[in-house]
Amino acid sequence: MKPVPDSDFSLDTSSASTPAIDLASGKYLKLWQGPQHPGITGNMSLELTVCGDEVVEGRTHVGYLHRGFEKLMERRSFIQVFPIVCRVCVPEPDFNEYCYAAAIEELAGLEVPERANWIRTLVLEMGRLNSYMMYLGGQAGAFGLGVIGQWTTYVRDLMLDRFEELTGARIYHMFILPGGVRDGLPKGFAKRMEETLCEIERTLRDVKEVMFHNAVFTKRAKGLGRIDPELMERYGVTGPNARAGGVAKDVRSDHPYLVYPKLDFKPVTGTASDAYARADVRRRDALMSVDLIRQILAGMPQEGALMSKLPNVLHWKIPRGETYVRGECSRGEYGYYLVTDGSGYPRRVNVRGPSYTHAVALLERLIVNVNIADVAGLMVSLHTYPPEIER
Amino acid sequence: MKSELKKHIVKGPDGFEFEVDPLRDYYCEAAPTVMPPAYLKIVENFLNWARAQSLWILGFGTGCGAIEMRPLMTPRFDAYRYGVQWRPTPRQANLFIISGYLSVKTLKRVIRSYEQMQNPKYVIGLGSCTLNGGMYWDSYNTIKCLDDYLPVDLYIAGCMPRPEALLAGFEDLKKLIRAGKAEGANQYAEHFDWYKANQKRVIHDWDMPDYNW
Amino acid sequence: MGELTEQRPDLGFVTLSAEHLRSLLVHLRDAEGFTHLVLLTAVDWLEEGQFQLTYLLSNREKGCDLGMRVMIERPADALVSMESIHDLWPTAETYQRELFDTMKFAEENFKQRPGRETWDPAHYMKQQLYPDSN
Repeated sequence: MKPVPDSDFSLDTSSASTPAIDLASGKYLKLWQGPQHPGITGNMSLELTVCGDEVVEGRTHVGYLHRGFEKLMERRSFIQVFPIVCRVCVPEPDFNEYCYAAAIEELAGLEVPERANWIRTLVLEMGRLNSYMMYLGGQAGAFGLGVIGQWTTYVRDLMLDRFEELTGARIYHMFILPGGVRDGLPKGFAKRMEETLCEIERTLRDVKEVMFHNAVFTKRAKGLGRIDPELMERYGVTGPNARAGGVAKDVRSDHPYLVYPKLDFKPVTGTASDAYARADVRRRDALMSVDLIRQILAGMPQEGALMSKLPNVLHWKIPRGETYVRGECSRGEYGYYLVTDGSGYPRRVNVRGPSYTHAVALLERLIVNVNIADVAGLMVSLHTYPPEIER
Repeated sequence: MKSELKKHIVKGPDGFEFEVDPLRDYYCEAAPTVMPPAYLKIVENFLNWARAQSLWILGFGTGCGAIEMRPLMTPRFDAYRYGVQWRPTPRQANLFIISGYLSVKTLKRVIRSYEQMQNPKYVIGLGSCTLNGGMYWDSYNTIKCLDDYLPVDLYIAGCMPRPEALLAGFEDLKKLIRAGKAEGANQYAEHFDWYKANQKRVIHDWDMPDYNW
Repeated sequence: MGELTEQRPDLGFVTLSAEHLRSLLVHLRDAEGFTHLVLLTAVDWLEEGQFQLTYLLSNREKGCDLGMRVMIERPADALVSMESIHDLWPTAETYQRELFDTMKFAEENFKQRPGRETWDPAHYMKQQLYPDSN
């Protein structure tokens, strides 16, 4: 593949070296992929300009899922926002709850009991496993290996059962509240969780054999969508996408939060920075999550408060201030920027989803010179999720 | 209107130039018509029975409800047992599941996809947000009542509905179809002007013909 | 330049005027190691007639963040504008586009980028297959 000249960020349009694509010349074809298309992650679309079966230009179109979350939050009191935040990201809603709760706790000066912090970490790691399972199925499916999706969705469902046991809901849990968590672990939870984890480990072993040693997957994914090291910082690449390129960027170890300092782990890294390396990093990261959940269940205090005392939430006013709270979700750095103005409503809530940078600016860059058939695989390999782009 | 939708001259690969009016040449302008039942009651009953046996869903995840579609088509819940399966293109599908809230931008694509589906076709509204806006009742960018824009045969309430609820919903839809009561597509054809007026009220950049299958 | 308010030990905010922003951003990025643009957003202080632009940078080595607040006037009837930083971080273009759509900033700095250079496929294939014949 020929490297793309780095000419696309000058506002100087006078240079004659960058001719615009002339659609009327008959050499190029404009192709829309999505939103109603099986090879697209979620509800978004790509406007591809192709020459033969090679993409010469791709534009991401978003806005199909825009619900105006940030505006809706400004009209709701601090506690009313809770049912809304988890809807920002569907496969992994707990990060929204945690980041928002942590931002509120910081601005309102609330203390969180130790036991609640352990349970929060547990919930976040469970959500991460769910998200990775969804990803592995999608990534394999994009390259035509349908059976992987059947296996991983099944074990994801087992994890959803554990969620249901703990929080009472399958998808949207609303479990983490400011000041703590809603409830402790039910009886026998650790044992059933251990069974689920064994099942997940077994599936991940199978996935390794069937997917990562598969000739089709290896040939198509190796070398696809390589992110150059110098692009990492400029495009704000975080999470497994960065770790697959050897940058050990992990919020869990860079900016430790919750009980991560007490757990024993090391960020998983790869070297090649292509779609194969990213899938491999995510598979190993899922195994690390399994290990972390075991550590949490072993080290967790069994007694103690779950919730600190809240003021009357109906008349809850938080003094003026602003803060940014982040966490490492399965796709990268997830953060909430919260501004309060002393009233009973947030002044501004800004969600920093990792897909925002990955799916728009970075994808438009990586998609050039990719075959049409590989576009779906490339998109999935960045692990983007549209609702968090739209908010 | 976008520039590529205006009349323009196109030069073919062989050098021959011709004029194209995309709105007239690329789409069909004929309005849909009501499909009358078969002349014999027993034939109609047989057709309805056959229709109920194969619900083919259009694979278009319009909202967050799409996340429960994966468990549905995998071994745990296995909707294929009930003759339900997913198709990638509207031409092969006869059931449109509106999975959750619809933003105005998606509504436009949903209308196009719905009109491309062949008769007989059915619509299921999934989740509270299709009923009355649900959680997004005061959002500026979502539609509140799906019934105003598309003929909905069945609603499955909840946020979000569990896969079991969806399976029960499919069974209910089959009962409706067998009883000959799932007449959404005919309703759409009958009150076509009313639906179009509603759709145009929210979609401000309407740049397609009224009927574009 | 305003003084640093410390929100957390690893997060500080500083208020500065619009003309100092660019030089400070370049300095922080190239000399101080704040290489990661976390987010760029705006807060609408409607009652005070001001927009607050927040540029949040992160330094991974030291594990700390710095937020830059730029207060700009918010006229009721006109669009406001701010210098673009899309050449420092390409991702900023998306953020700026979003601000333009949601907060009504002026168009001048948020225009679409020019077309990408593409190749004549016949010429490209000729180069690929017969590099010597040129």
